[in-house]
Amino acid sequence: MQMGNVSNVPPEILDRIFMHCERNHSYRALGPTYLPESRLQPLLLVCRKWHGIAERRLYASVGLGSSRTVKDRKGRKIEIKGRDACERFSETVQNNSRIAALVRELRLGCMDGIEFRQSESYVRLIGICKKVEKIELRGCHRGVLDDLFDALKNSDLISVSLSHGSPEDGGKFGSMLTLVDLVSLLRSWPRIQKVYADFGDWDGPYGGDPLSEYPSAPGACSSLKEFSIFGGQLSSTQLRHLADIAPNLEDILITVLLPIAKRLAQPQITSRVSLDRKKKTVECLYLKKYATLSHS
Amino acid sequence: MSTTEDKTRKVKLVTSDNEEFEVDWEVATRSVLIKHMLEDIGESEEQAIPLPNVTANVLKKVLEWCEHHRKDPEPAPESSDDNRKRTLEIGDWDAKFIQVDQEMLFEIILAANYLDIKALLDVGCKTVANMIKGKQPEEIRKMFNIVNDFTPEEEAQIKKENEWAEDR
Repeated sequence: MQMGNVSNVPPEILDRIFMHCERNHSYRALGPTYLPESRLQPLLLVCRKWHGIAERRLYASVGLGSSRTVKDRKGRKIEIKGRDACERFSETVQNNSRIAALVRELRLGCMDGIEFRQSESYVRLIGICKKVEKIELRGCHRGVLDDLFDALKNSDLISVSLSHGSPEDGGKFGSMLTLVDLVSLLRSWPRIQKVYADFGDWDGPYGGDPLSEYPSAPGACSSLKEFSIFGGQLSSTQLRHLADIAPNLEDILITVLLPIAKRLAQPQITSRVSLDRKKKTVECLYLKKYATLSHS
Repeated sequence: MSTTEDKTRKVKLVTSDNEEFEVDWEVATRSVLIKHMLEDIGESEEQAIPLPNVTANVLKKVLEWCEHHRKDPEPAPESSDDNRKRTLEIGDWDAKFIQVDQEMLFEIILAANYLDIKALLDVGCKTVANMIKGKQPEEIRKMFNIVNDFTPEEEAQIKKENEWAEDR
């Protein structure tokens, strides 16, 4: 019979205790923050058993980019810059492939304005953390977009969220892949379930969008259920491609700026679309059922 | 779905130290394990449910919790969104209930896990998390009588590779 002692507590219960120790700061009133799961660090140093469990939890989902203020041992406030935490994390995963393989989710943001070096680090991290299956990326420097495309193409993702900054941000969050890039990336992710992309102030259909951009791959994304884009508009070619590769798609949410909403004339969308006023400048086009999309 | 007949039914539980408890069906079935066992044995009301991993003093305490929470709604299935709702708060009655010595605290946690009583398990886990919060490794070891099995070199290495997550 087991005695009531922490050494008899099985790993799954210790993990549950550690879950309650984490500070929850994924979402705050002012929007998302990109911080590591805190309060786990002391648990890593208690003993080997605790280390193994806390380490798995710490690295399962990693948020980087936001700066934070902490208190040192003497109670003095010090600021840890998001980019410094990112550099240290990069060093750890670069030097330790075992730790890199623990990372399942990367949440990467640029809160203080985008820098080439930071974007470069983010793209490198996506490449190093080979087991990563969920990626959230807010902003990217224009100079590394090609590398970002390649890194994402080589990842086996189940969820991806890519965000561009809004015009009010003065472009400080940099750039993001285009809708053409995103749609052509889909077939690289056979396990993908959820896609979200924010294209910011994009306000017109992209050119150079022939069907040849999207080689036929029927059912290549059969797990894809949710596809949401903000500030973009799917062309009929892209819709046909989506219908081809994602036969089990259930929800498509397209949010566009009001001037674009007025110009929309895609029969595939307007046949079942409902306009839902969200803000003064934004209309929400919500196509709930995939059944309205056809291959024709 | 429970019936009126179920609610008036009595259930016999036998602990590892051979003590028998007779409790209301509604109280016993806060435990998913017991609920499933009762479903398996069907109408044989006289058959006692053996609980070889729980002693009488721990089961008594667990049943006290089940009695107080007998009318609570069924807990919702856990989801990945639970992280966002996470809180270390414990209700007043639960906080008083869980004011026990460390040995009993871990025995309740182990029993709640074995009996599959998620809400009680969370009360126990949150209590331990509150004890750990803000403590240094050495303080945690002392509190739970844990032996430091790291070499100084290993400790230094762990500190270095996890510097990025520093949160003093």
